[in-house]
Amino acid sequence: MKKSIIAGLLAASVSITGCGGSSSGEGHISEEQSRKTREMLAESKRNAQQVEKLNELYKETPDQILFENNGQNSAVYKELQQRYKDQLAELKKSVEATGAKFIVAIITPEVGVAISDFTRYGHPFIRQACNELGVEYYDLGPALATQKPTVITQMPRDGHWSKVGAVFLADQLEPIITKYKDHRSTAVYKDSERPETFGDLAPSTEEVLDGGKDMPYKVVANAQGLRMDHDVVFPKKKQHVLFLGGSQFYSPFLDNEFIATSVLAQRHPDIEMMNAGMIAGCTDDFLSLWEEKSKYSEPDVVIMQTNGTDITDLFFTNRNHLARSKKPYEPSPVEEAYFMNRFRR
Amino acid sequence: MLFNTSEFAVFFFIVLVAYWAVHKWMNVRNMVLLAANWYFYNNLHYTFPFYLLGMILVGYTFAHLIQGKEEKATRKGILATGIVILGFGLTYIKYSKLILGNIAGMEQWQASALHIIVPLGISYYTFSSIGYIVDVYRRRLPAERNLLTYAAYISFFPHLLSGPIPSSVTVLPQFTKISIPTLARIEHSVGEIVWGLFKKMVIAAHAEKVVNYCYARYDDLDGSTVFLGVMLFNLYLYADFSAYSDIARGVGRLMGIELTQNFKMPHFSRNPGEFWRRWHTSLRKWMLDYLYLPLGGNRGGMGKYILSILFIFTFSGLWHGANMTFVCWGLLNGIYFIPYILTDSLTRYKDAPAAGRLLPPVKVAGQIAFTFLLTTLSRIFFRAPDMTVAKGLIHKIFSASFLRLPLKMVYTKVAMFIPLLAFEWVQREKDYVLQLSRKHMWVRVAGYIIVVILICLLYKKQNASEYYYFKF
Repeated sequence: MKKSIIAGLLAASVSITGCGGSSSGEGHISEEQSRKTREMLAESKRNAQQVEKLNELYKETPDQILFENNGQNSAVYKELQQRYKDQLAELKKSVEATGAKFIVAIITPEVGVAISDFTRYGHPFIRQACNELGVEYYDLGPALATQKPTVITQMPRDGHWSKVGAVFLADQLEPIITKYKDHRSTAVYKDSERPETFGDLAPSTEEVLDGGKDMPYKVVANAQGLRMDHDVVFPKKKQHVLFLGGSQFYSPFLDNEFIATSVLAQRHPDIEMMNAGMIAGCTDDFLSLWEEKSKYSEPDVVIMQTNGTDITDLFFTNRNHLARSKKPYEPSPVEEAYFMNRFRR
Repeated sequence: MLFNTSEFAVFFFIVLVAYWAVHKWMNVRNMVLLAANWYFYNNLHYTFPFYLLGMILVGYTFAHLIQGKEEKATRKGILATGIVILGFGLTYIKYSKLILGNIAGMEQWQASALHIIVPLGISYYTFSSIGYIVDVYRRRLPAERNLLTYAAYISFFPHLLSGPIPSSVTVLPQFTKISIPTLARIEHSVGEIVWGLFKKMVIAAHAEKVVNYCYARYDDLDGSTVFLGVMLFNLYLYADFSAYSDIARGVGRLMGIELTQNFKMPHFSRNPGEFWRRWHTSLRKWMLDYLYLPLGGNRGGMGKYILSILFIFTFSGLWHGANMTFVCWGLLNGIYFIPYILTDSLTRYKDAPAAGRLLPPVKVAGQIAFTFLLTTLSRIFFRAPDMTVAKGLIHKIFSASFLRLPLKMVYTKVAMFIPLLAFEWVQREKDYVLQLSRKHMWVRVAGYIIVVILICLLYKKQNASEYYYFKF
């Protein structure tokens, strides 16, 4: 009895003084982790406060006036174009560093009279930027122009893909998939390096959303936060194609089985089609998603969907309202001048 | 201002304090109530209270005109005129599209073409106003002399938007009396409010989007999923509508006003007749008193009996909306009665099903399941926006795909109702669902607290979701 009491006290003293080898080490790591967590929480709180403050100061988001003088002489539009180009270059560099093929697909359902200034001035610039950066791009605009908007989209209720439109989009992406079906990346990550998710959807969910339009649709997200109904396995056994993009890839108002990436997955069971599409995303979001999460899915081909709104979405007030990073975006002097002139004069 | 919002909680607290502070002075009390009713209704649209005011003045005036005459023919004439005037607004606003829309050259006179907004609750207070003047005509009660009292009764905010449709004979006199609630009645109110909030904020909220999905995307779904979607709607509708009625009753009782019990656990009904004595009972009673019995009811032979039933249910369908789907829903519910009438098996049960037993005998379970199936199938028409969708849903349900495994998302939502129904089954002989131990107060308090905790934990925010029956 006496012995056991002494043994217990000794054990307790070892524990208190931290003399026990392994337990001391674990405690140290745990403290380090909790310190990091605390710091991260504090930073995100600071960020949220700063974003809130900026959104109060700068409420308005830019409109068509941004394209004054056909967008050519607008200092702020030029700055946003440069920002877009820089991010595109950064994304290309980062994707190619993994050995993956980086491809841009210019996709918007705007055709004919429906073309807005975002497309009118944005698309020529995107094509030019891709050419200058050596990025392979596919402009789906001409093909889309041959289609009836009421057939390929859910107009008049919504401008996103209909079931027919999703198949049409899959048809347009098909040549890219086929062309690079033998391409393989070189980057391989350890399980311990990989984040819990590769996309931004709530993992392992199956829910009905209606987008506030009374158009209910079913969203299934796998355990890795991607819009697909099965998990991506590692080490990978087949080619991985990552779809980075906004709502044109995410495809609201369609059930999972009808979206373009599911259509492609059915056609190519030997390829893992990973849909990381997000609502209201732009290059800034695609870049941060890639760096934080998506690159760990070890894609061999990355297809980034873009269009003209991705340029204007980089305006600081848009970012403060929409950015997935939730970080504060301070205005540049040019943005500040534009904002004051447009909204505060 | 929905019952399940903090805005309503603040509003109700202020009204309750003011109401009881002046309760000894009847006119002042009713004035407080009227001001609260006006504020509540004005919150939805500033024009609504003016429409309601017009209805109140018409109802009040015609009741006095009827009472002032002795000759039956004159009284009848005044009553008919009153019903026409009171019913005109409802008919015009809800049915002009159906009627004028099909007459060449008259389309521009539809209420929708004139951008007239449909006042929420119009069907309910039109029916209560008509019921009142008919009751005065039948000398079931004298015309209310005090306009303030009558106005407070018709516009009483707990029942204004979705009923229960009040019976003037039982509810109106309560506005002329002071009835301080006892502790037991306060507890009864709390029990009903808490249970109502649970049904709306937890059960109905979780089911709503999946129901919408099943009705909107039925074309892409298997028959089994569509069937469960329709069943889910049947259950959702019960949770949503009975929640409103429970809260309305609880709120009314806290102000000393006892409203009709609108739902009596209808999904445990053993035949369609019992179902309608347990579902939306205030509308049934209105139909019975002011339509079915004047038509002769079940007197005059089986043929007339069946015709009366079909007429009543078709009328009920039209009350819900000027749409062929509602006509079909009503007719179908009427048709359900025919085999029971022909075989003389429309039993009028007085006791709760399997009273005194934990589980029902097989025969009773079969009767309950069959009645539930019938009501579920009728919900195809009730929820479908048009006949094309209704036909599509039927086609899906009665297709080979009915044998496939339904979507998990749908059957898990249906399964969510099992504990709710099981609890209601256990409590089916009580006065209200959350009526717990009669002896131990701590058991009851613990029960209420558990339900409140469940609401907090499981509450699902809806997209500005109104109660489903507001649209009627």
